[in-house]
Amino acid sequence: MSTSARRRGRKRALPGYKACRNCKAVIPETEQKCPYCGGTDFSEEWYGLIIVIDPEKSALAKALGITRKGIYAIDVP
Amino acid sequence: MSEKEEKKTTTASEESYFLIVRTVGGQEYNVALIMKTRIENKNLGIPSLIILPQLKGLIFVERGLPHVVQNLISGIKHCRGMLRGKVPLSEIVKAISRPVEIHVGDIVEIVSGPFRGYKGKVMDIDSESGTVTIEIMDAASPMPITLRIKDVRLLERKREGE
Repeated sequence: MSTSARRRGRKRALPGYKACRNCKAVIPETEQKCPYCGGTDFSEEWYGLIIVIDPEKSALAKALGITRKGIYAIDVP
Repeated sequence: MSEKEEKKTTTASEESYFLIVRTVGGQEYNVALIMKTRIENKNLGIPSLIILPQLKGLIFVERGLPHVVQNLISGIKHCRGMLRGKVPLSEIVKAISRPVEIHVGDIVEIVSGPFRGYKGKVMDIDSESGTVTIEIMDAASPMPITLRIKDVRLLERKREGE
């Protein structure tokens, strides 16, 4: 857990995973580069989760403009 | 896209709803990952799952039939069954999209970039370009810098009378 997360008393959502600040994709901490956007700016603090299994059939994915299947965070401060 | 197809898509979007699965508080992320694996393996036709950060212990399942979802969650540790009723898509989208809550004069913390961790006062907001100009508080001389709105986090609201 990062120092700022401990200070605010919020528990990490899913240990072992980090979120890309650019596209909000949630990926394992071992990855060096975001496989979706190629970004390298990650956050260990993220909250909320959207799991898109079938973007073509999902009305939620369409409403949010998600075109690729995957796991995304809602709030990346 | 033909008119008939377009109408069909609109109707599907309007009819979209979410069923609610209850879990032990704090375990919703682990349960959702297990559910994702099961959906993909069994091809259950559930297009998405969502966990809202403000609602602890709840997972929203898109367009799942109640008996399919019941079957899906059976045997998962920390899963506490389903809640009655359905939530429309519009309510979920409303809960996700929060308006920008930063105003001029607020105290913010920079969360990204070379000034990460510094506190500053908001001097100007450009909502069109999504940038905010802040003045760093701990600096020896006043130094306004421009950042993206998502790179700052609200710490303290502007006090009345300031």
